[in-house]
Amino acid sequence: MLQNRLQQLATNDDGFCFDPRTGETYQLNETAQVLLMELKRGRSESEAATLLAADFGISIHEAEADTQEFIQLLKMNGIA
Amino acid sequence: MRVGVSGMNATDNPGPGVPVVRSLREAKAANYIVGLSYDAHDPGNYMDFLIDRVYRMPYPTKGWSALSEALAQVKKESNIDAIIPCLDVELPLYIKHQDKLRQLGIKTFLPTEDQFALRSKEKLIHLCRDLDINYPETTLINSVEELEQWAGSGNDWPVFVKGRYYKAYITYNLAEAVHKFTEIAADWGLPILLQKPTPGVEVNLVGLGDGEGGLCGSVAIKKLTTTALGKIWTGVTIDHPALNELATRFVRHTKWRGPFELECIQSPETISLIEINPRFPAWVYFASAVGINLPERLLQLMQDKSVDAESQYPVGKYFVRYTYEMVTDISEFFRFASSG
Repeated sequence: MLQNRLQQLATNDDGFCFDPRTGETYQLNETAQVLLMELKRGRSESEAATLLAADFGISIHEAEADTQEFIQLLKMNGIA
Repeated sequence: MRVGVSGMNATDNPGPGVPVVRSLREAKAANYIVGLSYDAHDPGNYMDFLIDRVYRMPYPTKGWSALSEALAQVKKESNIDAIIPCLDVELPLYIKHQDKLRQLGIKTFLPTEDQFALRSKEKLIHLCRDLDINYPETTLINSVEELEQWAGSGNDWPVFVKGRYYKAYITYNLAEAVHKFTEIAADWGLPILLQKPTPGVEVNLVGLGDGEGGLCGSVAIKKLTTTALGKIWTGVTIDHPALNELATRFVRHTKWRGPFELECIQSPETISLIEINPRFPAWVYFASAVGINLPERLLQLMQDKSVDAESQYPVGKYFVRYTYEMVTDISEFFRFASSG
């Protein structure tokens, strides 16, 4: 995970996300907002999944799957 | 300074002239601005709130003699000190005869003929090798037969059919490609380029070279939406270190003199250069509005003044074009139409 690329992403409370490197804009759902916030704070993928499970009251397996899917999306968009 | 600016065609396929004038006005860099127009319908002709006087110019195809005669008249009547030519098709004439313009008392700040040729679409692949930057797979063709041979050699569709000066169409089969080849060749001549699409997002940079290898400022953007002709409608400023570095390398390597635009495709892994325009792009006002006024800096270079080479600008600034209407009397149109 390229921490500095994550730190560059600008977000607001409505889930709007702007990548200043590429000019791409994204609309994040609540799950993605939490994951991005935690990853930007330097949490590992497994720590972010644990926090996600606690925040949304879902199983750790489901949270890990959501986290992996989100990481894949970041990679597909050249962010991670 | 009294300045002539061409590219008054602020249409759906906009020329850079009006945005250049707007940049100069806002910087108070020129106290008299003359528009050099090729068409009585050009919207810039009627923008008396920006432009002091407009002259109808002979088409570049009429050659230097007709252009120099017209410019001598402009000089005599409006006493311009400098010209900023903004259109690809007129640049070869202005570049070739920049010494003669200087003798007329008209300054320019343009690349040399050699520099201009380096970035031509036919030669860009060689420059890309020198700059160590990717270039899409491209084939030059001069006839429909060569296009058919290309199609019969196992090449995949789609492919961009591009003119040497203007126009690029994506085509999905031979019939479409032949149609676009014929259309572009009729308007802009040969050769035509067949260029494989490069996956990724387009990013662009406007810059200004000082002619000695230095970069006098640049701004990078991403086009968020474009018109059917591929012209920017909305865009956003970005911070793209690889693109900035490419611009620095380009001006250092070529000692580029004057404005330029880099058109690139950014994929997650790499960046490819697809085109270098030897002039300001029509979105140049975007750069001026975020604090990097390159037309103003261009006039400073012409006057041998020290130039601010700062390229720090806010990232995430949003640009949106809009349409606007002006109403004047038909006699104004007749005046332009009959003066050509």
